[in-house]
Amino acid sequence: MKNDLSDRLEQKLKKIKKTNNHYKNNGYSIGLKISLDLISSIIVGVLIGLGLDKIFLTKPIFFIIFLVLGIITGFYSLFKTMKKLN
Amino acid sequence: MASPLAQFEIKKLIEMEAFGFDLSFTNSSLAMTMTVFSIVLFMYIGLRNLEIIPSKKQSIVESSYEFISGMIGDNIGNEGMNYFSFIFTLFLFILVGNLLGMLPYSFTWTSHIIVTFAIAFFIFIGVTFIAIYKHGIVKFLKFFAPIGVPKPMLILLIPIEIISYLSRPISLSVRLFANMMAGHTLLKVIGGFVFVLGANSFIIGGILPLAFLIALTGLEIVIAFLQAYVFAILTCLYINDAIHLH
Repeated sequence: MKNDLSDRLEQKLKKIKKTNNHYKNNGYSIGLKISLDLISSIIVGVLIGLGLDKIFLTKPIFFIIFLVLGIITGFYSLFKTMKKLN
Repeated sequence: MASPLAQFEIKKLIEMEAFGFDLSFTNSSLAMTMTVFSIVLFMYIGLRNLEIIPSKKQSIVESSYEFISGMIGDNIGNEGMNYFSFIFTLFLFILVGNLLGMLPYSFTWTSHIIVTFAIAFFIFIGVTFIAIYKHGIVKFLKFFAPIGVPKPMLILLIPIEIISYLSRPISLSVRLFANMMAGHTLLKVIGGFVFVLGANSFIIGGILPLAFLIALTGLEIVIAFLQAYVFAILTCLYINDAIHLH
């Protein structure tokens, strides 16, 4: 009898956990997070690069370096997000 | 017919200028003032007659308190309660702003990138300041160097971490702004369909877009809640990062 009850309790808890996870990680919010991470880090990289170029008068060099770094950052944060999900 | 983007136009209601800056009172300022007044009214009505067994109005205010304190407890822990008033204010300000924007003829101030960016930027500065104040500059700078990484890799990883730290205010502000602007534009576009299709086919053609519009309005109210919630929860996460530097 007691075992039966605790089994049922565990099953209910599992169900709640599942729905909670679903609520936190629904597809819409993940998609939004990933796309925004990708775009915003590229924007920040480009802005830093253009700013440094303006200061040091080295037109395309820092822009190219930080654009590449921004793209890497975007995919790195995407990678981190996907790692957290699994 | 007005363009779907006409609803985002800023109109000066009272013109003001100081030190060469344009400080006019616009319809955006009016919407923000209305937001603050409605929050104060909501709190006043809810907390007018305090009782041990709460009335319906009091329990709405109490449950909003519990919602935010639960969010802080889950995401920051007990130290986070110091920041309760900040996160509560932020959440209510954005939520009521989003919801007031759903009223016809009103203005949604959260649909302007400069407003959301200003909020996100000050959160970013505040969070950085908290981290430096609590841990000192050296420990804060160590936050950008992940532990257990071989030294040659740090040359690449430190700029990456700095860029991803700096991109926080942008992703935070764009998330709120893009959701609100896209939703309201979509409502106006579908509203235009109702009028045009209905007028050209003896009202029958307007029924389908109208049904769609009603469903979208419901969805838009859900998004108003969800985005205010996401904004508050991300602020919680950033404060958590600042308090517990890993």
